[in-house]
Amino acid sequence: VVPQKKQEPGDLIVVGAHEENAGILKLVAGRAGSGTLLVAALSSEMGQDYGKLFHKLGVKKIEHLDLETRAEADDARAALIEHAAIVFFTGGDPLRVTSSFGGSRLCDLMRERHANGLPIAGASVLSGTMLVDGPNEDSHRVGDALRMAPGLAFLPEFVIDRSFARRGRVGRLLGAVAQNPRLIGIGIDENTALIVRPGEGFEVAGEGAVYVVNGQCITYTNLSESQTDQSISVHGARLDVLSRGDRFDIRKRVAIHP
Amino acid sequence: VKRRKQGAIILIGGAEDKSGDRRILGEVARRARPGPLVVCTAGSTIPDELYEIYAAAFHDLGVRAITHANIPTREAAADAALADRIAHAKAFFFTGGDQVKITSRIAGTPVHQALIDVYTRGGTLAGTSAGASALGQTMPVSSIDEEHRVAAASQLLAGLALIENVIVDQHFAQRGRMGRLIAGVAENPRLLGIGIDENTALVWQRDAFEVLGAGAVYIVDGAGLTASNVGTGPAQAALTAFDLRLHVLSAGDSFDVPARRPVRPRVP
Repeated sequence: VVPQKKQEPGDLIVVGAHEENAGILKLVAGRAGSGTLLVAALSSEMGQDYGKLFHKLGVKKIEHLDLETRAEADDARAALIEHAAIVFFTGGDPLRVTSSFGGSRLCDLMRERHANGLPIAGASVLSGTMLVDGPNEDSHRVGDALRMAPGLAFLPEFVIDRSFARRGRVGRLLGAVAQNPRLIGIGIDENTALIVRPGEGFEVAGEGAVYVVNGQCITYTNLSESQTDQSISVHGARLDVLSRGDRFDIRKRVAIHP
Repeated sequence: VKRRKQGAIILIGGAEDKSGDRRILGEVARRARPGPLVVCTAGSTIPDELYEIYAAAFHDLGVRAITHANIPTREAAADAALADRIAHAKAFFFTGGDQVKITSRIAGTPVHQALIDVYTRGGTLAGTSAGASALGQTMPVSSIDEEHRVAAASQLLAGLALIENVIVDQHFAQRGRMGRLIAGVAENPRLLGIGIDENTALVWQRDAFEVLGAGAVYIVDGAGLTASNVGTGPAQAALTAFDLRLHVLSAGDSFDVPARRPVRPRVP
């Protein structure tokens, strides 16, 4: 047996919330080339809708991976992953995605293929920590149920929130970062995407802005205190706002303007 | 002439509690008692209605000699008797409304000077919502909420500047205004960006302020800004602004303005 040459991991494309005809889906379609785009969806209906969309965007070969029930590693499903040129996780409840797909042999296979170059697109399920739910309208409170859950962890360094310009979202991302400043907080506007080189950095694409919250320099937070109805305090966070073409170096945690 | 700054300025993020614990109005009242207090509705389209609401609340909180400054026109702000009444008040309160109505009617008039007099004499100036923004040096006036656009950086107007070198925004988390505050700070990083949530306030005295109320006060410090596109990007472009300092303060936190540093609450 000739040992396979170790390849670079594939790019990860983190897509913000988007309209049907959003340009950011073209980024995903473009990566399929002449190969197969594998649409991973929680329902076959949603999968078919995205299939049509990608077909319109010029993708010739589209296959579907059904995440509705706990994925079984049958040969047919494994073959879908083996032969995909890119995987796209549609939206929907990220907890349902992780509960049906996380830790499965299919997920292991996808991880292995990703480590050897398979690009994957999706949203918060790609991150190490998913922001599942939290306060929307007001600033974050100490006792708020900011629901976070482990994701598929293709991007272990990130906690990701979408539709970021909407009311109150900055507060909840800061709350998530302050709980563990090891995580880099990423807030993505609608119709905006990150193209990530795993472990190295990312570039912003699309129409909106991306917030990067770095909590390493936080000097104080009241999050562990007992006054649960108190609004949060987070002193000394660093914030970078990035738009199309801007890049971020994950290792050095610095933003780079083109 | 350097003004002696002895008074207090209370900036309120709007929608302050008027019937429950009234924490914020109570703080205004504490400083306004026994009176006189002037309630100014220059920003509002429903001046009499608003005056009645605030006058009743402040009366309930023990303030006496409460009077109304309606100021429907710029001429009204030139009235010597009104200016005199304000100058001798213990406290002055701007209701909300439209901040441009406030500045266009009052800036540079005898009433504006009377506000400065109240402050330098040790009195209290307070404003809620648009009234809070108007008290600062620079006011965001962009209607672009919930977006991050370069355009917001050119939609800033001069306020009454009772507090210098700040840009004050309100209804902050509730209306998704981080984008327009960051645009304002990136436009001129000398200004300290202050975003105040609803039912939240800060009390500014000398060179520091303290937070009170239910929500958060966001401070955007652009002194270390390394890159931005507000001078170069097209208006509809999304914002770029690197290396901002962001502080989220809650009740009991204070902020040392010259040092640009938050101070945590004292341990009891």
